[in-house]
Amino acid sequence: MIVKINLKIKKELGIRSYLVFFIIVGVQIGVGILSIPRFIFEEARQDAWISVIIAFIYMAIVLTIMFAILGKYKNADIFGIQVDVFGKWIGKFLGTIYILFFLAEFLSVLLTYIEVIQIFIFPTLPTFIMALALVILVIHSVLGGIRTVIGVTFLFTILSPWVLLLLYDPISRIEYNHFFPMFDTSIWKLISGAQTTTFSFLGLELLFIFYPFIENKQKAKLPAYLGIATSSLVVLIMTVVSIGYYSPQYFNKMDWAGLTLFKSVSFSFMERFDYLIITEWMMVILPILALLMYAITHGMKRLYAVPQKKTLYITAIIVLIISSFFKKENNIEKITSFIHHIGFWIVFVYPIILFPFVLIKKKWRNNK
Amino acid sequence: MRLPLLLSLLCSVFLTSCIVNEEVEKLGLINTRGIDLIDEDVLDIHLVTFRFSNQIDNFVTVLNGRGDTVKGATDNAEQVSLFKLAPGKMKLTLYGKDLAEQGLLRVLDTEVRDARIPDLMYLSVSRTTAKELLTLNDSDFTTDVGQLLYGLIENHSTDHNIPRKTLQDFLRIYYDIGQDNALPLFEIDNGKPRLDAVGVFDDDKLVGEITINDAVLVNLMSRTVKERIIELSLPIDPFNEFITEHNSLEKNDRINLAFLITNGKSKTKLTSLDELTFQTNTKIELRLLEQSAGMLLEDYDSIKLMEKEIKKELEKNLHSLLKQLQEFNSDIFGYGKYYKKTKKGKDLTREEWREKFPEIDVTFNIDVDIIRHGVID
Repeated sequence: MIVKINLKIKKELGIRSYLVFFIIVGVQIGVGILSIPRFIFEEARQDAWISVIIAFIYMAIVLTIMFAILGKYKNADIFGIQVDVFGKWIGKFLGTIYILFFLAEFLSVLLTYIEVIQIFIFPTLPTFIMALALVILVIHSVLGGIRTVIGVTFLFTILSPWVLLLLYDPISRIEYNHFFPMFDTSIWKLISGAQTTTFSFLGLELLFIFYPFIENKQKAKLPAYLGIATSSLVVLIMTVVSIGYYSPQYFNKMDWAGLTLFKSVSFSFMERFDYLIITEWMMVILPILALLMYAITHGMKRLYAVPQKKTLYITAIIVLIISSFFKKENNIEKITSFIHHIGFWIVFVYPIILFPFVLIKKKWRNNK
Repeated sequence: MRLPLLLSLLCSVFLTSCIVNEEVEKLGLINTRGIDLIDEDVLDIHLVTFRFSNQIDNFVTVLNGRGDTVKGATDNAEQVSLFKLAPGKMKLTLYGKDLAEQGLLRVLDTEVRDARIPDLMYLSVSRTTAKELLTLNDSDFTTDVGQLLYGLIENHSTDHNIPRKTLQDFLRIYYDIGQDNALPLFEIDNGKPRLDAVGVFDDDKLVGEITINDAVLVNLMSRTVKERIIELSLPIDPFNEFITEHNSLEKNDRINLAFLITNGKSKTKLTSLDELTFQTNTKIELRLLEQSAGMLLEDYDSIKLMEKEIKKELEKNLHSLLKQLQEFNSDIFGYGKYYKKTKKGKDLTREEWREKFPEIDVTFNIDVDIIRHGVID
């Protein structure tokens, strides 16, 4: 079967360029943000916030390269581009890696979220039940097609930022001395902190998938840059507040430092806000799951011409089976950190490697 | 399209039963907890719990349990209760003196590990045992003893000042090298709980106590203090020329004053890293509430003089407080933080600061401002 390089998108399936902002913010801010400040801190200590800024700059460079790659084609996605550059077999193989990576990301988000629920709210709730409830929601939104998926992303992304307002309480408890001595961390530690930061920025690769759907592509750049700036800002806020709020030795022990921040928020009508945050967080992860699931089904259709519905149901069953096997916290942590490391190479390094190949291919074609 | 919709509907109805449901009528909400150490290693727990059942008259009960761990003792207490105990709304934990002197870390592990324990729970110490305080006959109070202790802490301070220390504050300060904890110390006075002193800690061990008035000074050094009464006693001699009402009061050689601190703030800096000298500049605004000498304050000079004398007195008090704390080797001011902040490169270790704290020297520099003196001169 031949993989078409450029896609023809029906007019009614197109998405407006400003929605790119919501896709990027929606997919980048996920469960990672609840735990990532600690891992950045482990690397870069009190200067962890500098690492977040470095990560943002690097991410902006990667995004520029991604746009440059996509701009060399009329209307292609990563599956088409890889087949064009590397030929049918290698292209398909690389495309399959992408799909498997999406599946792994899906699993990691799902399992991590369920783990949080089990730790904080329902210790005895079986993983399978929670996974089933979430997967049914995902199936429901993916069945609605790309516009429903994007709609879910849009809606839930604008419904959640109020959560950040609750940080006022941890902010009032910040100990400013925790930030000193400033600039005491070596540059290599800062860079490895920045690498850790990128773990929470996985999802940027979805631009490679959804790009052909964007209607007015010239206008898509600004929303994309604003998107990464917003998610970096949120991670930066969480990191800065966490450094100030936790003492260094204590911070190193906290598994869900981001979530525990909200434990000290209390109102007379609601004693424990962390419970609310956890349930609210479902709104934050649902867009991620839906976008990833759509990317999987779309990819299978592009590469192997499998009907999207078929992939959807099969993937859902696979996810449910795998998720019911993961019970131990350590195993979930292992798979998550494995995906983070793989993800760094796929999302933040691979585009830079791909770019010269695309240029050479283009030149070669022009010469012919 | 119909099938998934139907499926979602069915799931949302039936999946809810997978969650263990907890009815409030069957729960005992733990409000206050007291932990004592008995027989070397056994924990004795007292739980003040609320129950919401219309079959019972008194909705507050105190349960007792014993065990090697906090969770084990709680479980032991649950065995004499009709109700399932829920820790989610715990307001206060009271530690017995023996336990506090041996170290609190062993009982704090579960508070952090268990996500259901609220971070905003206050910690406190009993001068005797937690048991004695929590089993007081509470028919004399308008509320139960747990609420009373909680209220005492709330009334004694604002914001995050001593003695209002939550679990989160305690752990933060414990893990922050260069600062030590201080928790409210309750005692029983005439059958009623009383909060008069603050226990100071060396790491997680109780090592001594200071008065609640001294705690105000500590707060003044490390945080903003507002709306807090402070009592001072000054020598009367410098004020002689302003004392017009010649009456019996004159014979005393000291003058007693009460002020309300309307605003107090400090800035500390390390002046020499090698010599371990610090300087703390404090600015406090006071409102005079009471004076015992019948002194006339219409003269601007009299206020100036009083400010000068208060400055002298406060600085003297702070020096003796610092000396006392250095003997305990408990840096509740947090001077180590400033040391750590300035010292680059190698991290300050716990032991290092323990060695250094008794050596430090602080120059207190207090700027007193009496802004009001009430409706009379």
